[in-house]
Amino acid sequence: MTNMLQSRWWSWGFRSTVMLYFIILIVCPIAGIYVQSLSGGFQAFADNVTEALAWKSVILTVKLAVISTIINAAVGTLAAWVLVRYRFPGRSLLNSLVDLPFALPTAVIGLMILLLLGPRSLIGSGAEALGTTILFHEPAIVVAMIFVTFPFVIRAVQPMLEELDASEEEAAYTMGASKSRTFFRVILPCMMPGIVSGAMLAFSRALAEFGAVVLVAGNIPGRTLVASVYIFGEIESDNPAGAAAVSVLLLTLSLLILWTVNFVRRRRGELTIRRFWIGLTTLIFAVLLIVPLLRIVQGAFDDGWSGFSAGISRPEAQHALLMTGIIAVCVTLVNTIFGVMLSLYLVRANWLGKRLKAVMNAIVDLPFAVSPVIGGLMIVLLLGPDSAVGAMLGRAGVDVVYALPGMILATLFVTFPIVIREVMPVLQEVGSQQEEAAHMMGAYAWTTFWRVTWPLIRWSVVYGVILTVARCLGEFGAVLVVSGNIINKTQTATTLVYQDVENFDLTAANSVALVLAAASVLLLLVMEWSKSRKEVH
Amino acid sequence: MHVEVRGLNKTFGSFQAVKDVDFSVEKGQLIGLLGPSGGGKTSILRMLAGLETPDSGDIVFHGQRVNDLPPQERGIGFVFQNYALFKHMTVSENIAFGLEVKKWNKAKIKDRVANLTELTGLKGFESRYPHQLSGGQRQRVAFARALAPEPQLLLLDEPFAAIDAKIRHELRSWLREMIDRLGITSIFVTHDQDEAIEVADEIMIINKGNLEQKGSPWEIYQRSEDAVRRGLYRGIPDRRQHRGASRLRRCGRIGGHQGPDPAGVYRDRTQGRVHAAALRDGGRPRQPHPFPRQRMARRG
Ligand SMILES: Nc1ncnc2c1ncn2[C@@H]1O[C@H](COP(=O)(O)OP(=O)(O)OP(=O)(O)O)[C@@H](O)[C@H]1O
Ligand SMILES: [Mg+2]
Repeated sequence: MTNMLQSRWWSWGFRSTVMLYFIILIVCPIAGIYVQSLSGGFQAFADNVTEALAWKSVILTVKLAVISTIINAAVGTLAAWVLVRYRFPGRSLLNSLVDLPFALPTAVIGLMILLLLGPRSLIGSGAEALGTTILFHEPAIVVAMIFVTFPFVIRAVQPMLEELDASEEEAAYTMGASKSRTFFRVILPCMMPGIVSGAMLAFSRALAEFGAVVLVAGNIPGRTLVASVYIFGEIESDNPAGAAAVSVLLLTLSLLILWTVNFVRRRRGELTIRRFWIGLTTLIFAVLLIVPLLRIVQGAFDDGWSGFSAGISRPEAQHALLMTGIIAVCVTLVNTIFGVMLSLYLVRANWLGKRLKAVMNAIVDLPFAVSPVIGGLMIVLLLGPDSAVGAMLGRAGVDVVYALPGMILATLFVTFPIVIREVMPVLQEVGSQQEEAAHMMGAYAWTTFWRVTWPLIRWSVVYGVILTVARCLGEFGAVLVVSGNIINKTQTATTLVYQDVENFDLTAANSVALVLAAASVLLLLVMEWSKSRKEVH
Repeated sequence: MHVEVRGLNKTFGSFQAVKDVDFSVEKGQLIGLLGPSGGGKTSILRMLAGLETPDSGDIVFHGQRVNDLPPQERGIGFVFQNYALFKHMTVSENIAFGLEVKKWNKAKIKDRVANLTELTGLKGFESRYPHQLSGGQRQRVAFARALAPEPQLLLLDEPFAAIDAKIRHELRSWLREMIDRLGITSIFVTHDQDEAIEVADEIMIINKGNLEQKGSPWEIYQRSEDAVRRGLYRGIPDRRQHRGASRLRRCGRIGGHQGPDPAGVYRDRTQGRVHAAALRDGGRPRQPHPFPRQRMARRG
């Protein structure tokens, strides 16, 4: 009997801790930003949003995000098709490269594009000869957005194509349907849910993108200033109300998109040509992913080895890398533990109502869709020196914002969904019967978890952890806002890259970026390995 | 274990899956739960096991109400419909799991696992993983695993559903024999009336959440015959009737059997077995018992 009571207390404690974590990390900041932006009354909110520059930045962002999403939907569908349907040497390499934009820090991506499209580069000078400029103009922003959102459509369409039995296609042929007819009547409808939900996610990510865009956009107010950069500017110039207003606009848009994606998810259920498509896909990969990566390696050594080592051995560079490391360790630890527990609860627990589960499920994805800058802003608003909580903590001698705790918090927010999104599908797929069988043989929750559940989800957790580490290393927008980017104090590797670029010290920026990129590629390799293990089990 | 269920109710959302079910099971009996799909059979088993909480009603084991006992403490073995074997463990690890949880010492565990693999005919398969086994072998692993911690009550949810008809027949008699040998109270779910009649001591028919009928296989059989005669099943080509008749013939044959009966020791616990005991003593049962228990016992 005591045993039972004990286990009830434990489970009650676990439940409330996890729910509290969810509320504090996700629900509070979002509620906070809505409250803040509407605190001056609706008129003030409307004024802030309709302010000429703010409005223009939002319109520009939406326009460019739409363009890049359309391009990505087309290219991504094609790439997914080739990767699933054709077998050719290098296929698995391309397949793993797809995730590169997820793994690379966005600031590094921005730097790559900067080097690639700059006036001194081949493409830049070529464009100039044609009378246009790419860098610091809209095309550069579109390129950045495409790069960052490249994996979404592919990763959403691939499983649908894999599911689509070749026999369905063959059935259509036997009924006399032509190739193109079969494609449009059988294959495309099957891919459609994947294309739509992938495109939606890509769109919301493009809206939110900051790190890559801020470096290549030039940020000319009214012309190339996108919403996330505008928000950042407003925060910098101490106008949180303006920042919050535009944030709320983007946030609402993201929420709508997430809701649509959930909806879509729920509703679903010849040699020469082939050579051409394979070639095209390879080319796209090369241009989009590999060339920029090589460019950064080259850039780091522009001034020879000494340039690289000087860039890396600066005290601020070392400190920045250390900060990034500390944040990555803390965040990965916390979000892995809470992520696994929350997944268990979202999939298995019956003490959570169905409605509540559905709502939580939709909110879990929010940090993916919200601009990291907005994530940072939420924390500043909630815990900054001007807020009630922040003031209280300040009196107690604890700085959250512009200090390490705030940066960790911001990164926690940004990486919150990753582990959950990896673990939940596996839990759903394996079902609860093995766990119930363990209960029937006398195993309590703890034993059941370690002996039965954990071996089943282990590789998904590892995969989620790797993605989380990658994102921690790469997080830029949220950390920049929260950290204040103070040299040798709160500067991380990515914000240092940003600062170096702002100071036109490209070689130094490259050195740090190369370290980050190398880490990302390493992570990508481990990711592939754990992915293959995941399939084994 | 003596099992008693009183006024059991369960609703999922607004759908009532189990309505006011009462029954009791004598120690050592094998009960067949029969009924159409969606009738609530699994739900009843899951409530007995403690995997689902009843909305109202009592579940009583040995005169003790166990509603508030978690599944771990109920001493029940459960064989799931799709077996739910631990995919990442070998056959012997699967069987040993419940014993390790109960903190048996290593040597004892080894003994018990060896015993069970022997008993279930899984010798030589100890270090295979579930995906390397046939359906029938998996079924036996699930059975051995459920038996390992020496449960007082065994629940089987459609233990043969995923197995093809031929092997199913064999497994069926194998199971009956096994349960006879161990003398463990058991409840098993099936869709198949023949299966229930052939294997069970008593049959309960569950339909739309209600316990519609309860009786010996003989009674259930007669009632369905009556129903056929009254034309309730008219229009359905009646395989049931044929097989029923052949079963009766078989019973008659077996009723005449008088040879020595090594497994007879197990037989005098339940009603059905009283007939067998009577047979053994040379007397004839007043009423033929409609299933061929002896045949299986002799094989074992
Ligand atoms: N977790 C659940 N949530 C909602 N409804 C459920 C749940 N479990 C069972 N039901 C419903 O309760 C009813 C009875 O289900 P149950 O699984 O007990 O039927 P069954 O007799 O075992 O059927 P079958 O022979 O097909 O296995 C069904 O209508 C089912 O849809
Ligand atoms: Mg069932």
